[in-house]
Amino acid sequence: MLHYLLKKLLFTAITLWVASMVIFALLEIVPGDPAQLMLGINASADAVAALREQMGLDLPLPVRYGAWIGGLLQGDFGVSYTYSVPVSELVGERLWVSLPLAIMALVLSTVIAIPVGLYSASRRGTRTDTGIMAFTQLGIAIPNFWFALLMVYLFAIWLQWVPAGGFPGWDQGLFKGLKSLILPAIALALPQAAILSRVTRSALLDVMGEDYIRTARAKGLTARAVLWRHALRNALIPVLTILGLQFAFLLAGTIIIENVFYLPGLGRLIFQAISQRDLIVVESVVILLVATVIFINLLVDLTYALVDPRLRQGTGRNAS
Amino acid sequence: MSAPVIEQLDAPETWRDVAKKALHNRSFLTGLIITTVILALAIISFFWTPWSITELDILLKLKKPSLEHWFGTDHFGRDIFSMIMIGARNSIAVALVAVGIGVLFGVPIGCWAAAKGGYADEVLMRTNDVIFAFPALLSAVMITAIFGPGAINAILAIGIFNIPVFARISRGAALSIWPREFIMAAEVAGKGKIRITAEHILPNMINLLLVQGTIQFSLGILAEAGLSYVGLGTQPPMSSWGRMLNEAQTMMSFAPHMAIFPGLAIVVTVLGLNLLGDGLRDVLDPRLRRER
Amino acid sequence: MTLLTIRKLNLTIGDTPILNDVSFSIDAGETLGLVGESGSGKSMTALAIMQLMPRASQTSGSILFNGEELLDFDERKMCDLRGDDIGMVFQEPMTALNPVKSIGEQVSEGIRLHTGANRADAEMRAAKMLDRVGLPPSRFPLNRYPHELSGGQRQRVVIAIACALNPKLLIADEPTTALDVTLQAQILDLLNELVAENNMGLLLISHDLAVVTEMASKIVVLRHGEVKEAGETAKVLKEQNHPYTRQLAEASTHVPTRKTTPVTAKKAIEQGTKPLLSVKDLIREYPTPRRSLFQKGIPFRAVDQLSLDLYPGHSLGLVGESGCGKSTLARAILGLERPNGGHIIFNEIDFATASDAEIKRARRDIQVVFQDPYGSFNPRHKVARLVAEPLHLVDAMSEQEKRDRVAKVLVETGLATSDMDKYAHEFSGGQRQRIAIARALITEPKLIIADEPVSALDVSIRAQVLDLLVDLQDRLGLAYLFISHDLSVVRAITDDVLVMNQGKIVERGPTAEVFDNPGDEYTRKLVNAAPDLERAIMKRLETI
Repeated sequence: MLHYLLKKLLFTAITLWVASMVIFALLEIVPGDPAQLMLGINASADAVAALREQMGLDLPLPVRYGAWIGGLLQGDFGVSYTYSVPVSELVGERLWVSLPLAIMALVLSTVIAIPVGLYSASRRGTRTDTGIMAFTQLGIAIPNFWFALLMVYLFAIWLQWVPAGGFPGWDQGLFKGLKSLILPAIALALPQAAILSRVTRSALLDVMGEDYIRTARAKGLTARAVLWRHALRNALIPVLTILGLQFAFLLAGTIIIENVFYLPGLGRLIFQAISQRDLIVVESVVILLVATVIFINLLVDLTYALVDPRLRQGTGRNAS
Repeated sequence: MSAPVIEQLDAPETWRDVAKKALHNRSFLTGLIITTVILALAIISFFWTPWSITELDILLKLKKPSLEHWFGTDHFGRDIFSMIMIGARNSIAVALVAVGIGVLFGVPIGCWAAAKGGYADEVLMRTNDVIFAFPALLSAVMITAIFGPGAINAILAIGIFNIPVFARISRGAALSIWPREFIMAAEVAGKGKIRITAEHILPNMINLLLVQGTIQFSLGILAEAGLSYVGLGTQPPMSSWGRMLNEAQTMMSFAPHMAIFPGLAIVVTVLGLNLLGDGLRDVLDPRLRRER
Repeated sequence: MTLLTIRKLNLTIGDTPILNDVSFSIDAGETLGLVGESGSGKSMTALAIMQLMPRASQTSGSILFNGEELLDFDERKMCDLRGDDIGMVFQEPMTALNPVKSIGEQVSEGIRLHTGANRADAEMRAAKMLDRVGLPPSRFPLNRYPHELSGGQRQRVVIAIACALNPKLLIADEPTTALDVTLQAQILDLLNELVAENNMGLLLISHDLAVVTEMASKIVVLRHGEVKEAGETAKVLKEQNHPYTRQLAEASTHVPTRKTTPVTAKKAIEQGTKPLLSVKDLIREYPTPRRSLFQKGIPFRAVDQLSLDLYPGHSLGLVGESGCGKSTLARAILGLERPNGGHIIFNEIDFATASDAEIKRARRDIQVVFQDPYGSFNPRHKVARLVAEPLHLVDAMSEQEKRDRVAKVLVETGLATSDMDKYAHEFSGGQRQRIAIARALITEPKLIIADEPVSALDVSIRAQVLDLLVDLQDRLGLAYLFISHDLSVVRAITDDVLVMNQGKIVERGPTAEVFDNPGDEYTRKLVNAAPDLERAIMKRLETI
């Protein structure tokens, strides 16, 4: 277990490090001088040079990378070129919209998908199963932002049950905040739930063909008991994999969905930053999101070990 | 992480057998018809559209769907059906090139890793993990932030994300073929790894790649729509389904048809491709199994 | 009292008939052997008794268990019966256990289900049962997981699950086919003991006539879903009334006739013949996974300073259990693995020092036949291309020359020239093995390495392929390195034998001498454990 844990932690650290270098390097090749950008085209050369020095732009590349990473580790993301406030402040505020949204969507999609997948697998080949699978086929094909638009039209414009968009802020009360996130969360969750329930179903059906399922049946377990007690836990491994990938998609998806609902999240921030060429903000948001994805992958890997004893003992998967 | 693995290799059937199976496969047929229609619309749009979309007629703006304008008109008075036809070109081109990038780089990388094994394999798969940490949208955001928005950058972002997908799938498939006895027989015959890969490994994973290609194609269409919707993809005056939805958003309350039809176009296309992929899987039967 | 009576059992899956009027009965405390080749329907019979057939199966006839008609039972009543009154053991111990549940959980699950015992009581009973099958809790605690156990140990767990509640009937479907002979003997002994202790009925399903003869007092011979012969094992096998029974028994003990005089190492040395292949102090190591982040694994020696000599026209057997390194040795000789030490010298060319061109030329003279008649061909190539593949080692040759050569070897192996333009899947297992032999012959080699070439074949086909191999040796003067775990096959076809254990040769000599009077302890263990039909029949006759 310790071996597995250490190995995974090491890989996570390396992945993070490489990802940070990629992001840093990409933004280095951007045409244009941030100092010039901040001061405007009419600024004097002296002023630009002074600002460059103040921002540390004249230092060699590795030093700047070191300073950047060092800052990040202490929660210092630098200062926004356009707003002239610490990026951490900007990001911190928006994170409390995007992260709850992504988590809500993930929970929602899991809560819907796994029971649906189980139900469908247990009724394999019946009309119910075929119906559910046709429905999920449709679900996969629907772009979440279009689904969001339709929901806005239906629930906000037509039925007027919920606000069409915007976010009151958490200080207006938990309920109000959640209420404004519920439509976006559903829009994000349903297409993902369609994928996840298909994966759950097919993983279960795969497992149901294994020899040990027959052993369990020969023990006297009913088909349903076998599904719950033996198949589900084994089927969880591919399901977890998809779940991990989905969180990355959901996080990226929030960027788009926030646009539909006018939510002040990281997505809105990043698009404003792009249009204003506020690269340090772009850089910070991207590294934050990438780090979250990498961290989630680590969590998934650790959950594998909980599910599968073969990993726990660190004997590796090919030991058996 | 799981990768599909070829469980059993089957002899190629004759084209007639495959065609016969295909004709009896409902999801393949439906998918094929939908995909063909969309493709045809895209091709026809090069020569003819019901209305010109470059001539703006403000008098015709925001018309509801009618016999004249099947899907209605937009806020500039342009015919939405015609715009969808032209948008199809764009979606198909972006997704196709992105799949091409994925196959062109991913498959050789995956095959190489499987043949080489050891550290090369490990480094490669870890690099894959790094790329996987950047969802297509996020890399598109970065690329756009650096090079500015545009269809080419959208293709790049989606294509880059496709590389690890194909690398992983071909590596998994190749790894499951390498230990077979017929590979050993080829090695005994003194054939090298490249030659064995070309003669024995690749032909046996073609079906798998075809199925995965269809899936990535449909994902590419969804991704392009998303990027164009937030303004990072196709730029005006080029028409694109995602952009149409973007423009429709502010007019949702009084012209919902502007959002409904381009969205439906995406849904139908993606659905068609997914059905085609499912059907292909049944027809070609690459005997997939999830590796744990 | 009759425990199980099957009368006129018919089973179809979809439109395909699987079983046709199968009838037999088992008494309490009795072992009945059900033998048949692949596709005879023997496993389906077992699944029909358990009512665990695949979808779209339909049965008719009667299965009376303890006086009750199982075909009339509903699913709930069958669930009560399964694991309680009827236990079942399967073929594949590696996959028969749930990888994410501990062995304690898996054994006690059935106990709790059927007796309603609480967890502690059930686990106590499970521990006792595991102890009984030879997995004492002191060494195999209940919280062990299947992947921590070997194949033999896993099969013991499966038996513990099946016998946990002292079933009246135990069904064992090829319970030892996936195991090495010494383990097979142990597991069969265990089954015998359990039958005697609990007065169980045992339905033993096997393709191996020798195993069934050793174990079962009654035998049922099944072919194409029909009972060909049934009765007392001793009587059936002594009289061999039915032609199929006779065919089966003969094929199981078939010894091909040689027309030329065998070459033995002793004679070759006396005559001063130079060895064709000489392996000297060969070492092949595999790295093992790191023991921890900072500690490298100790390399595993699959082949440990092994030496052997093989002469022209020689037929040399190599026997040993799985993991003893025999396949690694074969791969090293074939150049598929790079040795960590020692020399492989073929026709006086040392592969360690020779030039690439020399090695390439030498490789033409060494060809191989693998075990799996299904996996050894690229399914996308036609026979002509499959068989011609080793010609890669021969200098440029026109397509027509290649086709002529393919035609020649196909005829030589008993196939038709017209088979050239077919795919491998159009042939049966035995014919595919002929194609594999044709492929090995195409470079006109001097040595063929045969790695378990008949292990995957049914006995009647096995006999034909052995005949072909011997015939080719007679006509072409081939030398064989014949690798097998099956002593009876090695005895039938080889002149000299090497017994391999843990990477080393523990005994060598003329085959008959070594097997009849083993000098080494491991060889003795191996020979005693190996099922032998003639010996088993003799024993059966004595006990009457």
